[in-house]
Amino acid sequence: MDALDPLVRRAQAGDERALHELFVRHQKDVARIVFRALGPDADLEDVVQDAFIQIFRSIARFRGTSKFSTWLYRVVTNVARMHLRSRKARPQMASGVAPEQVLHANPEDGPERLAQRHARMRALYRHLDKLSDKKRTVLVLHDFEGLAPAEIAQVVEAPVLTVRTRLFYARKELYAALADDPELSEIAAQLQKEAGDSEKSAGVP
Amino acid sequence: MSEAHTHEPKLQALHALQAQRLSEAGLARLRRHLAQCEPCSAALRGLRLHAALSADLRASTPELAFGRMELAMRQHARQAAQRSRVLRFAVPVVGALAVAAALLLLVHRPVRTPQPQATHTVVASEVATREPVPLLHAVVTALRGQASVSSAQLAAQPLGVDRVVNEGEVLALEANAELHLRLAEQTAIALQDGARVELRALRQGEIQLGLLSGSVTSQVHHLVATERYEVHALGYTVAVRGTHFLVSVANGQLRVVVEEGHVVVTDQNHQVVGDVVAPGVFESGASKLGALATKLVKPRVAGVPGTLWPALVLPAWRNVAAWQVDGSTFAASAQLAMRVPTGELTLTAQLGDGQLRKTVVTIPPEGLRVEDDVLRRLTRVADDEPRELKPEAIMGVVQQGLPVLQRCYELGLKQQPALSGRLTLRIAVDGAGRVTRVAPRGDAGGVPEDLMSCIRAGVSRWRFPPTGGSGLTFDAPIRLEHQHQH
Repeated sequence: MDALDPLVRRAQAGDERALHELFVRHQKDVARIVFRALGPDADLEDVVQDAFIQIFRSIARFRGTSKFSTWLYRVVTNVARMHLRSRKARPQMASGVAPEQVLHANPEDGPERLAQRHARMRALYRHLDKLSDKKRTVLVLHDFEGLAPAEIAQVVEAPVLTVRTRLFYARKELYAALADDPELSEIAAQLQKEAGDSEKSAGVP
Repeated sequence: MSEAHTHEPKLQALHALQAQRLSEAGLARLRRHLAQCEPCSAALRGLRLHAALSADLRASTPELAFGRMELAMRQHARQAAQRSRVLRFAVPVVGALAVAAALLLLVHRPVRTPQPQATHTVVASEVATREPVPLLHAVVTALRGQASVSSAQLAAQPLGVDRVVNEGEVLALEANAELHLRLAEQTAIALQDGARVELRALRQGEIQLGLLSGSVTSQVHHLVATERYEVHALGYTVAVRGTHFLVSVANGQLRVVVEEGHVVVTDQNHQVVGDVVAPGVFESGASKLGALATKLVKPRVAGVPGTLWPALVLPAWRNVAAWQVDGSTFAASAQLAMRVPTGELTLTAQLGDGQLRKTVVTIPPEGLRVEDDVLRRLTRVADDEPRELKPEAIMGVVQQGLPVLQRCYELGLKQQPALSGRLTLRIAVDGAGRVTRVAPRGDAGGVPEDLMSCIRAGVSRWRFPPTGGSGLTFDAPIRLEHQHQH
């Protein structure tokens, strides 16, 4: 168990400046976790704010039995899951078009490349939306956030074996859905070609 | 059923293939299998797509207005800190009381009657975690004309935009005034024309307004079963569940107009006298229901205290009949002040003859009082219209001025080495072609202030072809791009 960060201790004691400093220090992490959990979502900013409100409310209950970052993942992931549930309960527009979240582009990205990236991400999250909450959470934390199964187990409060099982089935369902998506067939063909080229250049017979 | 249909792809092997972790023999075996196994080939396609899309995702970070969020977060941090301090005090006190109560019970208990020890612990924990119903602090989001607030302890004080009002206070409007008040998340009221309203209960989940005179229009978010929103007037109670409605009193009669939702009107004896489903009207004189004839004012829920939007002030202007601002419409009979978001805002003036005139104003964080010359331009007669400035003429001046912008960018790179992206400048020129205003269009939160100051100073010296009239405003997009050193 780690010793508690003095900043966390101050925040737990009701120090307003410490709470504010927590926001400044972790705003990008929280925004990234929420973004990867939800994908391009018009409510991203609101969910990030909700996550911090929840962090402020529950930090007094953080006992340091896990890393602070793990606890942060747990709180933020739960807020994102609640948002996903309420989003599913809301009526959707017939066209399925939603306002786009503005993304920070790499300097070399032109508008066309950025638009393609948006379209691919929308396709990815369209399929993720079909996974169950539990499977989706594990997949996002493992494949997008790069967390190890043992840490994910602490975040979702489940045994490591359960996490591995959820990850296996999440991937299986997602791979099948992506492979069947006609919108992605062009990219799939391109990737197959690249894989073939790379095998050739590596001298694979 | 053939094997191809029942075969389960071995994801582990496919991952090893993707990561190039297979031996030559293993790779050859897998390739032979893939050639005849469609489910496995499909899974490999999906895996590759997932890997590529995940890489896209990891390369993208959301661009959020953290600066704007920070103001709201300061407010939440303050509330959380207060709550935490109260709990830190309350828990030991309640805990001590619980121990004392337990000891008292132990002393006085009958000798042969065993007491369940856990009972008192549970009670203590319930008491310690139960929080009082939080009070709401309503905030004025828009005001036209004059209004005041008073209470038993408070002499009448003038109200202004952003003024916070509390439970127990009475709001009073002068004739021809209009006031919008945000009561809670997605819940607001609009008072008009000499209205007087007492904020009888202003708590989380319970709002009760006493309408003493005039009218109040409410916009209420959907309430859960335990929440109450009521307007009391002339002994009647108008209780609602998520709706948009108006209650007014005049000549001893109550009038309820429901534009959205459903309200129930009860009298002093708690008898239901009106059950009004939108669109509908209830009038107490004849205890009748009628049809909705006019559109209700939409109370502004915007401008929460934590986010503190800047103020826009519009003075009364001779030939403007009404203003349309940020989705709300106000008669222009008196000065209008309201909170609006920063950035560009379309301001629409409805002239006396019914014509609509629009202009875009940029609301800076410190707020904006719309100056007379802007209003004069907005309401000018057609003869004063400026001549067109062609895009190629604008681009010619911008091209000539690019070295200035390049120097500014180099200055910005010293402060922020990764600085790059697009920046759109909104440039206003007068009739002689002189630059009168340069501002970034949209959110320029990521642009260092020094860079923006340098650009402003440089662009202000540009000279465009004269347009005549009172000038015009246009956008000039520029791209800030790294020149990679090799």
